Amino acid sequence: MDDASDLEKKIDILLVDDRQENLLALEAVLDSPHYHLIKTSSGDEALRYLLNHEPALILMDVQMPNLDGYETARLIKQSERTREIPIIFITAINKDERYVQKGYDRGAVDYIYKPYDAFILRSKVAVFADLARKTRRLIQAEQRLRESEMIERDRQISYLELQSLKREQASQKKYRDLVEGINHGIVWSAHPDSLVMSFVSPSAERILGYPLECWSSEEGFLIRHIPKPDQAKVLKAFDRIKNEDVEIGIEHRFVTAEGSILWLHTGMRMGTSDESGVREIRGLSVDVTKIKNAETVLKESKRNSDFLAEASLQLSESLDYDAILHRIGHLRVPALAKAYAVHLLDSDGEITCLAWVRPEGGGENRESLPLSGVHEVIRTARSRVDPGLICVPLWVRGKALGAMTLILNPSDRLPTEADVSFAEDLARRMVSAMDNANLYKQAQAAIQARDEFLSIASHELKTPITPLKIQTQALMRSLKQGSLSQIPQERLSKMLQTSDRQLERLSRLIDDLLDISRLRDGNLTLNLEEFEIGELLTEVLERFSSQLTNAKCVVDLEIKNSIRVHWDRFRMEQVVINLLTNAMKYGLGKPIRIECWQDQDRVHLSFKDRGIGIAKEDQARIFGRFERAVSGNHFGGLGLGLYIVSKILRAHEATIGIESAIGKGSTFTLDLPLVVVLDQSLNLPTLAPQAALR
Amino acid sequence: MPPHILIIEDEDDIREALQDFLESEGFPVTTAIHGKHAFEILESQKKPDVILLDLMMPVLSGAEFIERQKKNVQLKDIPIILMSADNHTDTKAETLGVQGFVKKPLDLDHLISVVKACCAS
Repeated sequence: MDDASDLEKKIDILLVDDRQENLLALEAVLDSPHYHLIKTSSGDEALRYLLNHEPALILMDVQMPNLDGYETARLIKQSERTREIPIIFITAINKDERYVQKGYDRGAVDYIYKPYDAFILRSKVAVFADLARKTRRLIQAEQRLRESEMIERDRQISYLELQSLKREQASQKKYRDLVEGINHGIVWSAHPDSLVMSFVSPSAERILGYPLECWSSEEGFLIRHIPKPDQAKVLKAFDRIKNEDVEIGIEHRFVTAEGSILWLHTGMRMGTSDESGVREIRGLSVDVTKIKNAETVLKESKRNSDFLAEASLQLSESLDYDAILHRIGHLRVPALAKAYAVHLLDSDGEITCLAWVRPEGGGENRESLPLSGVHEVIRTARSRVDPGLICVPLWVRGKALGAMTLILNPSDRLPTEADVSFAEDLARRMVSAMDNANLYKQAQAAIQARDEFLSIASHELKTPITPLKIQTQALMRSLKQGSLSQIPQERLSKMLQTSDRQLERLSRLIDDLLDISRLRDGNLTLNLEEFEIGELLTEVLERFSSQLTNAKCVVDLEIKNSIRVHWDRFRMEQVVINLLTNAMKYGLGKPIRIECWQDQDRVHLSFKDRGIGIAKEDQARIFGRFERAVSGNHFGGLGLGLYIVSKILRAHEATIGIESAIGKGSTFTLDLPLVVVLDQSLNLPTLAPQAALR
Repeated sequence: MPPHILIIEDEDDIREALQDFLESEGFPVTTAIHGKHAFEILESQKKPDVILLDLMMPVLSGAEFIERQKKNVQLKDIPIILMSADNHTDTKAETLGVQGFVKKPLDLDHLISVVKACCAS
């Protein structure tokens, strides 16, 4: 309703009088288009009217039967709703002050006495009507104001709601963009009981290959594609999230549409859907396959390096060759293998299995190892890789020691580059330990040989000095005693001969010692000349005749005819002397036979004794430096003779062979070219003495 | 009467020079070329008063000779003087339990005094 119509609304005035004529009179006086007069004939009727209406003014007679004006006014004033309605009492009787006061006490606003002046009554009523009208206007204004305030508030609320909505929309868009923009992760939500997916981000299709619709349409889709070993873990995580309302992160595998397996890290927690208020599991699964693979590689690499370190430590704990072999045979089996084997090449070229190691319960048997592969690896020094097997050579400084084979776990595992490199590393450590032990053994042997040699050399040098010193001292004693001239001529001559012999022996020893360093450096230079070999042999035999007699040795020299050779005469004389003195030394005084014959452009020389002989296992060794077949130094000599012989013969491009048996004697046979032609400046390389053997 | 000496030495020149010298000094001398030869002499001839024994010899070495001599009741009391070019001759003599030792090359005055000392005791 607008303000105008509201103001035009008639003012309700309640008239209360038990007398009908009085009511009519009031009606007549107050008749106005602005007033709406309600006539009631008793207090009860007036109160009934007031139950549902709120007139602007009540004009009430005081004197009424049953419920008089005062009592009616009291009841009106008791009601909250009607308390404020102004009441004007109209009376003809109670004019004294007491009644007027009672009227005002009952809440009257005015008192009018009958007979009343119509004009005054109208004026008074008009005042209250005007007041009612103004009050009504005020109420309306207040109401309008309140309404307008409410509208403003609603407007502001709407504005704020709009802003918030906009923000929410923006945030949702951002969230959607974010979710859709994730490349390496899948955002998803699923029903906590059925595990049916209610949302899966588009990245799922890209990462795992399944069309998006599969996820929500197929029940158990998620769990079905998790490999069995990981399913229990994932289901347990779902249960915990549901029951304990915690956030959980787990790693599990997932089978892609292509059939490959990816590692996912899934973080999940419970949430409530905005639209439906339904609780759901929300998760973010990130593809961590690369990290996982890198971790695996790292773990494997650490395990391997730990193993190698442990192996090195074990192998380096000893320098004893046999102990090293024992340790190699008792190493732990590396994690990548279920068994390992070590094959060694022995001095006869035979391959023997040093170790076949497998963990307890390992079902691999050594027959399953193809030995042909081991042979090939040892021969070629190249690693061989087959499915489930790596065989690597054990080679050091150009020499094959054997091979190591790893039987991989599982048997169909294709060896990776890292596996092969691990195996080669392990082999290198084995070889290094074996080589170290070998070198140590050689060094120890060399030191022992040197010490022995020094002791022998000292003994050998002192041996010729002893008779020289005896003779000299004897002569000095005679000189001191003045009996020098009494020494018989024969004895004097013998003394001088002895001295001469021993001086020559000393000189030869010194030559031998000097030769050693020359031969070791490979600097043996030949002074070639033409001579008759028979002459050389005869000459040496003559020179050694007294020693041969002392040794009770008969020498039988057989040369079929004159043989002229082109050799280094001095060096060849050394060879003959060494072989002759050896035959004498070890010949037990039995006859020695020397033969020389020519076979086209080759010349053969043999020295045969029937002495103590040389055991088969010592025959190659005796050509080494400081080596001798007989221990205990009973036979004297530096142990250099055969070494020097072999070196000189090698320089002549000749060979020496030996046939011998313990107790039956030895035969050394030389095979030389008739004519040796050599570049004089040639420095011959040092080769193992055995190489010169036939 | 000067003591009778048995020289056991494989080196001919040493053995002979020593024999010549000792004989010229008035000692009766018998010689053997190695340990085994010496036992043959000891079993068949008059026992010597002292033995000059070389250590390094073929067939039967000085050490082996001493070992066998100690087991032989008739020979075990003959004093032995060890002759060796070894730097540790003194230690070896002690180990082998012999009565004296001389180092090669020999000092003849010293040798005679050792021979005399051994025979006197």
